[in-house]
Amino acid sequence: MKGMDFKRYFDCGKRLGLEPYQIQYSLMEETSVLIQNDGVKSQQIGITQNLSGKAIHDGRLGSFGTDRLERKTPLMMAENLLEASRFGKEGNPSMFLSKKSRYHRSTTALSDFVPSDLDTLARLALEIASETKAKESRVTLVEVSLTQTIGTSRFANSYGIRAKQEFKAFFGDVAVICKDESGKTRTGSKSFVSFRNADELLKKSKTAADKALKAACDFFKATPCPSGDYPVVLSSRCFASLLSFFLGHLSAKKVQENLSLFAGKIGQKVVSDKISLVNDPHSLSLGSANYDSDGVPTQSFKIIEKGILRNFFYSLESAAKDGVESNGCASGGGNGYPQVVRMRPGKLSLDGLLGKMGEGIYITDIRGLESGVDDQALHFSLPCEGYLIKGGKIARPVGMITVSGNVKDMMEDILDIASDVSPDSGASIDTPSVLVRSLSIAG
Amino acid sequence: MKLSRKLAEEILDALLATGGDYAEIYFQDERTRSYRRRYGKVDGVSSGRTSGIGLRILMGEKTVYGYTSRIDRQSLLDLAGRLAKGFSGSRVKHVGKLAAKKGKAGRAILVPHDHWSTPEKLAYLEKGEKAAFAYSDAVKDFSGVLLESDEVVEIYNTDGVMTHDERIRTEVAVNVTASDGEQFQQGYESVGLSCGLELLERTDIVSVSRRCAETAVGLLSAPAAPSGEMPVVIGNGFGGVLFHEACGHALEGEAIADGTSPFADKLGKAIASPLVNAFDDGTIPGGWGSEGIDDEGTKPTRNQLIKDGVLTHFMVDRLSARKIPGKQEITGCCRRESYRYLPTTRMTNTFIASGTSTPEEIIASVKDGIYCRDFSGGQVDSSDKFLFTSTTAYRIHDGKIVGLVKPVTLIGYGYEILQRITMVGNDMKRAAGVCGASSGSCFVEVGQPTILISHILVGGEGGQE
Repeated sequence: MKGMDFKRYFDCGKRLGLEPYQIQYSLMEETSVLIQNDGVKSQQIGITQNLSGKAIHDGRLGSFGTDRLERKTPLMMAENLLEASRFGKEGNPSMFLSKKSRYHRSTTALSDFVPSDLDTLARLALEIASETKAKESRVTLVEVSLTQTIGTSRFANSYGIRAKQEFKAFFGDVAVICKDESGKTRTGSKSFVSFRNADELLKKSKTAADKALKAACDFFKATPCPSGDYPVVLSSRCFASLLSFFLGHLSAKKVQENLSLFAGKIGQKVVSDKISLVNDPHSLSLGSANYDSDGVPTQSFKIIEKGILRNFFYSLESAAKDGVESNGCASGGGNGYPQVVRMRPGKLSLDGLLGKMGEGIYITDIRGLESGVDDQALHFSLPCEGYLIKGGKIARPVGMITVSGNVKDMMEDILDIASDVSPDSGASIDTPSVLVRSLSIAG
Repeated sequence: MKLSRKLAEEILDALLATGGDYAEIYFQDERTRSYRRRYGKVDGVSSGRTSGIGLRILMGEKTVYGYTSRIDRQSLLDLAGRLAKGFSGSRVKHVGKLAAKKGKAGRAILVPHDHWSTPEKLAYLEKGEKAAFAYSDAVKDFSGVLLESDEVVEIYNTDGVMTHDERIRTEVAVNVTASDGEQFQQGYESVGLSCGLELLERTDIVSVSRRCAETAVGLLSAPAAPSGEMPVVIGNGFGGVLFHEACGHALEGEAIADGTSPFADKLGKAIASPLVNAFDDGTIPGGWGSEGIDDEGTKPTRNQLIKDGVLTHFMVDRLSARKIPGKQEITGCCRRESYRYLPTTRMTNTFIASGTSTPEEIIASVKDGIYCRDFSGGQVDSSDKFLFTSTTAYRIHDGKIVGLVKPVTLIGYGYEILQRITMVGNDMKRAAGVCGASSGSCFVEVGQPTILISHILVGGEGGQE
């Protein structure tokens, strides 16, 4: 990597008594276009470098990050780390990787990735916007954004550990606003990721556009349902969103601090036996990585097997406390979180799952996760929309309702799951749709 | 200034080579520090430096933007050349000589960040920690964070402006976790201002921590909130997130210009209860959302958005002024999270002004409803459907507060909720928050007095009583 001389950083650190010392470096280039209806609204090009380091001085840990890379950065970084470490938390060399390891070959960038230029991205986005508008007369606005991100990351520490990986992907988002004859407006949007080329990007964009249109138009006539407790089928995306909060309680650090609901529960049944989860960090998905924030190689392992808890997520810091090996899930600050989570699908189709429910609500969209889920209590209260199900079939759309409950209780109350996983979606958490015994709906 | 006048003129000229009618350089250099105590000990001291440049070209209503953390002359000129290729016309404008405008240092800082030592800052947090754990044996964790930001922003543009702003911010945040062995509950509070460490001298962290502990412990035995439509009293201070989500975003220039706001054609019309007077004011001394100049070099303004329920102004930046029909005054609220973001109109310090009722009168007027005191945030979509979550709410029966209930989310349409405000209190208070939108996360204040909404959907688990 031209211009990135780790030795200079570690030499400066050594002179100031920083040992051990770890650095992560990244260089990213983004090009993006935003189309609104039939015109280019904006185009962007961005180039950023980022450096973050942590080091121990006199038994205390300091950390520092910057995107200002110039000749004097190695000394500036060392001085800031020294200052931060003076009153930092207790540091231990076991928090730093000392053992050389083999890394999985990069799965975050395909060797046959074909980059696109701004003109190509703009042409594709205009095509999608034009087709989307033509499909539905109620569309008043279409926005299509396409972004290409190409980057490289490097890891190094003063024990001589070195690792690297690349990242190449397209991100996209299609948003539509539709207006019906009464003047009522509805929005729908869908995001997607592609790891390959413009052809695949176009295909995924068109699928996303169709989903955005459906999300907008299906719900013009949606009305609330009476408040009460209902059996609920959560769509795969909705369930995956709530599962992400559950996974936070499986950080080994959280367990060690007695702040997890699952302390002491390894080998015990903690959720429905319909649930089996694995960490799959080398699949082609957002979040996949060859090493964690400690530089430890990532690895595949079982998280939950038929409802039984098999593993917590370890960093070097938490692993040393428990006297075990890290399983490569360090996510910063000693915390642990998996890279890519896959849930084993069930046997029923989505229609079959709705048929099994018989009467209830099929929730297809939830919002407000940033404020409406308590990540410690796992309580949630979220606006949502979906369909009222009667006799196992869609009866009518429902909207302007909220769904409330507790994520832990919900995971215990999962009665069955569908087969509708989407491993090619590129999402970092991929699950099927699930049937929950009962959730509270307000309407 | 970071860039020499000559280099700035050179870059701006390169940006205008292909027909752009306006160009701008935005330089940002921010130093941050955080001090954390958690789980009974120092959890870390960390610092960071964010430094880079954003270049923007406008041609009519189209924008080309680029950003880089490489701020040497050659990298900047290369980027300018690449960006200019976003247009294919001929030059219509040359850059004149930039005239340095005296930068505004913002509010005078009484206690700069380096006037307290690190041990003093950590000791301040430890005082709060001791108070939280002393409250109850059910308290299991305390997290206290002190955040400091010292930022310099420089703007150079083809209107001949060359100016800078110094932005100092300080924030203290406390989170207390309680448990009864079966469940966890949290209490959270944060205080932030555009000032130095005088914030710590004014903020009683012991009281803050005790309130968080009281909330966390109280929630362990609180019943579920009710569900259904009912009257809701929204507390002062962070209750202002209601207006922020229900109306504020829809009055930002981008939504008005795109025609996606339900208020785009409502200037001069009643959009809220006549009790509502609302402002966006980027000039409040020390306001968390205040800046000496906005991110395109314009001085912020005190902008009355709604007067006696009638929509009087939008929030407008340079680009949205070009798109919104009619002559629009630029209101100095073009903002961004960092140089990595294309700037756009954003709120600064947005609040509903005080009315004449007392909070006691407002609570006493509710036969059966809830009082929402604290909030974790909210969200709105392009159809003006909003949500916000109350983390500390109380049941009201026959005009009296009868008990704490579990956190709950309230939803509705912004254009409906504003009209349902039936009482406005006399106790306006402002609170610091962070707002996320297309130009990234920006520091904002929300504010309001205690208000009564006649009916709104409450999404509790407790059912309808």
